[in-house]
Amino acid sequence: MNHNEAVEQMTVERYLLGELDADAREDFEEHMFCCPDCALDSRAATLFIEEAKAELGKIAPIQPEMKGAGKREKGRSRWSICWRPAFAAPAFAALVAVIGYQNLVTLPVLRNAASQPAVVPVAPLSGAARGEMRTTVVADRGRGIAVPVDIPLDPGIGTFVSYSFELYNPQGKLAWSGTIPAPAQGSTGDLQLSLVMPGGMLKDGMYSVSISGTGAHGESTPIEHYAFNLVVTK
Amino acid sequence: MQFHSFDAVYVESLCEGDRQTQEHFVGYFSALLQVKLRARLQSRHAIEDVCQETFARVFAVLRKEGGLKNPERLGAFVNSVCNNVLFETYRSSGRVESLDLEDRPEPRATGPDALAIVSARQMSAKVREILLAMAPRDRFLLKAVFLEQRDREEVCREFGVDREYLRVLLHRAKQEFKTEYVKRHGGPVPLDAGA
Repeated sequence: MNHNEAVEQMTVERYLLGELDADAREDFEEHMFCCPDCALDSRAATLFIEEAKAELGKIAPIQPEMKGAGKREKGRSRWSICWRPAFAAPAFAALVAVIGYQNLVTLPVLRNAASQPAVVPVAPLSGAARGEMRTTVVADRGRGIAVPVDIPLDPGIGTFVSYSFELYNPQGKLAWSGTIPAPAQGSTGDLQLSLVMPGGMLKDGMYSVSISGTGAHGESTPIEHYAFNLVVTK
Repeated sequence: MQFHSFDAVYVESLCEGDRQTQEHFVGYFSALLQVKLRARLQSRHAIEDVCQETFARVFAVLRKEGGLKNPERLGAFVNSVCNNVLFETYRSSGRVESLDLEDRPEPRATGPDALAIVSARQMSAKVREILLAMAPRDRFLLKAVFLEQRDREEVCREFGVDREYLRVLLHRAKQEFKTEYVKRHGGPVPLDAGA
């Protein structure tokens, strides 16, 4: 045996733990008597063990968490109860169920909705409702409603780089906003668009849509305003 | 425990009865013999007897003309003599005839002086510090293995660890302790090779 072998194989520790067979033990002892490093290691480890035996008897025991033991150490966090099998197992089962439902049901439905055509009723509106006159629109919560908006492409109104849309709900709060780029210069007529409101967001009450144009320098110009009373059916 | 190169000069000084060399020799190899014998003999008295007999036989050979042909193998020679004494001890429960000559007794290790006592306390304090820094589970593991002398396999199974874990635990503790040991351990006076 040489010193490198003794170090790599942790032979001093194996020797003191009684893990060496008779031949290996004799080999190591002969080496230990000739190698100053292993002699020092052995002596230090032996002294540590002797002193540790004395000290271990004095140190107040704190019952460790052993394999299969049910005792809790003092001072452990109350959150540790979350990791007990009685609690953790049902929690993990519920988590797996939720993940499974999302992957097997919810996500396919959403993908389907995003990739398949849908028939959505169109609400007939005219812009700039005046006074108390408001158009009433009946919408189906299951299918939603498409609100047609027409943007006049009149150079007299202004030259815009984009158009901004703001949808306000019956509480008067901004429910949605969006922007689209303006068509190429020189276009005429009206830019006809539809604002599709999904059934899930629909509530009974007064909605309004404001459209404004954004100039090259970021300046905003109001163009159109729609207001309508929405009645939602199931 | 200072190591000194065991060469012809050292062996010659030993044979001539140089006190410093003898004290170093006895101190150095007493420690190693204790390590070797603690696993084989239960009784401290028996360990002491084997140590004394080993030293007596080694000195007897050294004092003979051309007794030790390879001075560099002094350590292996001491180990070999100890093995023979152990074999005889196992074979016979009676007295082993000592080769100790009445007029030339083996030099005894000197008793602890104040410095050694302080050093021993510091060693204990260091060991305590190392143990307290361990996780309670590791302390219990060491206690079960070394103090309660329980079967290693059973202990490892109970604590959910393998033998390698136990080895590494001991290795780390030893490494940490060795630093203090080398710094403070009061052993025999370092031998001046030129003396």
